[in-house]
Amino acid sequence: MLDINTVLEYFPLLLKGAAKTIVVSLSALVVSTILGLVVGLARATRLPGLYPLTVAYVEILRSLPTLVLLFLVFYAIPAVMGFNLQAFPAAVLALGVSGSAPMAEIVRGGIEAVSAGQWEAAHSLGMRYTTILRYVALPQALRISLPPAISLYVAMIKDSSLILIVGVVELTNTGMQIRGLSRGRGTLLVFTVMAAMYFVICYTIAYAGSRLERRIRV
Amino acid sequence: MSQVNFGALSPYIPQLLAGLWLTILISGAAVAISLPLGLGGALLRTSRYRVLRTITAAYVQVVRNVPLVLILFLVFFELANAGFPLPPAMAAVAALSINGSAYATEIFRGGLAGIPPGQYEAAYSLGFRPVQVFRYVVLPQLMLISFPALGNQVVGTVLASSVVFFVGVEELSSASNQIGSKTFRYFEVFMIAGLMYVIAAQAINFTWVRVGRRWTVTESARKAA
Repeated sequence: MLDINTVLEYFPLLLKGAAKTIVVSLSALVVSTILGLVVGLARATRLPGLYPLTVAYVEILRSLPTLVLLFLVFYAIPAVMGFNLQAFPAAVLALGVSGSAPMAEIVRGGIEAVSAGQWEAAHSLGMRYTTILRYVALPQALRISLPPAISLYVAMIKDSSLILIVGVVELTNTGMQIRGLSRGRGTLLVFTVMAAMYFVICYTIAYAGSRLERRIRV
Repeated sequence: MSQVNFGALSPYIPQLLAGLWLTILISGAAVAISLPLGLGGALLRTSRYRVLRTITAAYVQVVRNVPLVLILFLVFFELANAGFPLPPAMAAVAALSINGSAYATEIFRGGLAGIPPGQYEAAYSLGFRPVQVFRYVVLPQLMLISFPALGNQVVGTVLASSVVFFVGVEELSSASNQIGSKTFRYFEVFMIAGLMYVIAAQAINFTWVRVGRRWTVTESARKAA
């Protein structure tokens, strides 16, 4: 069970899997940050016409398991629309969309946390709404949003383990393949090494986040 | 391109409902186990003994930085390797509880930090014993502070329970996948399953807010009286 040879033999594969996990999560992270910013801004500024849509978007996506989104994006929607989606873009899209709903809430929370006095002061200086948003509200809102955004990024890296279901060979999938190749021998150590790799990836993000947070503190 | 036809799924509705029921059972069990564990964890996390604080902090950090799927595989495959095979549903509940207890520990720890030290001092000076301080002074306030975050945790557990799919428990996601592979109506079945998840999550949110509001009102009324 604690067969060190299995780990040594497959270590390069595990590293490759970890690299894939990082690539997928970073791509998904970009997607969810962009989508989340757009939706969160539209929701916080109560953009006419779009507001109910943003509420529905956030509420529905927050109530769907990532796994169901993966199935919808990879199997279900291509089947009825009649196109094919590769596993990698499907995984990035599903993870990104799934993360965009909490991201939108984080952005909205950040904007709403900027005190009313800031808005009033900017208004009385004669600034226009978009100018206030750009130069007064957003710089403060993004600082406020950073810590919860970092937690979300960590959660998204962990969620990337679900994409083994669509056949992307990331870290967890690699582990399952090794389990098959070694017929279950030495897998406790393999799983432990995998857990350690996830820990290092997530912890690095969290650490970098807290450093950044300290640097941009107002 | 196939025609969307929800009607074709009507024979499978009982199977989906059975899956939903199993999802509720598994996540309910996981919540029932992880919340008390989290409360205990938060007490250990703020204990005056350094060893206990360090161990709980390490537990929380490790669990929060490792994917739930991996915890599930460790529990399911490695316990079986070690000679203690768990049925898939039990392994699922165990993995969800391990995961949930770490998050609940953080929630309750935050709650404990929100109780002013004066409360403890007042209670002790009134001659309360430590158990009484906890039961009558700390716990009611702690529950009040932590209540909203615990609601998110419950919803999170229901959604996270979909990963038990990977060890073959036939809950909602797994049942949907089986029906999908049998009928090739992945779109229809996952739209229905998605709708069920949304309804379940919103129902929990709604009830939680309602209960929380009533509870908060009675608590503050009691305080005012």
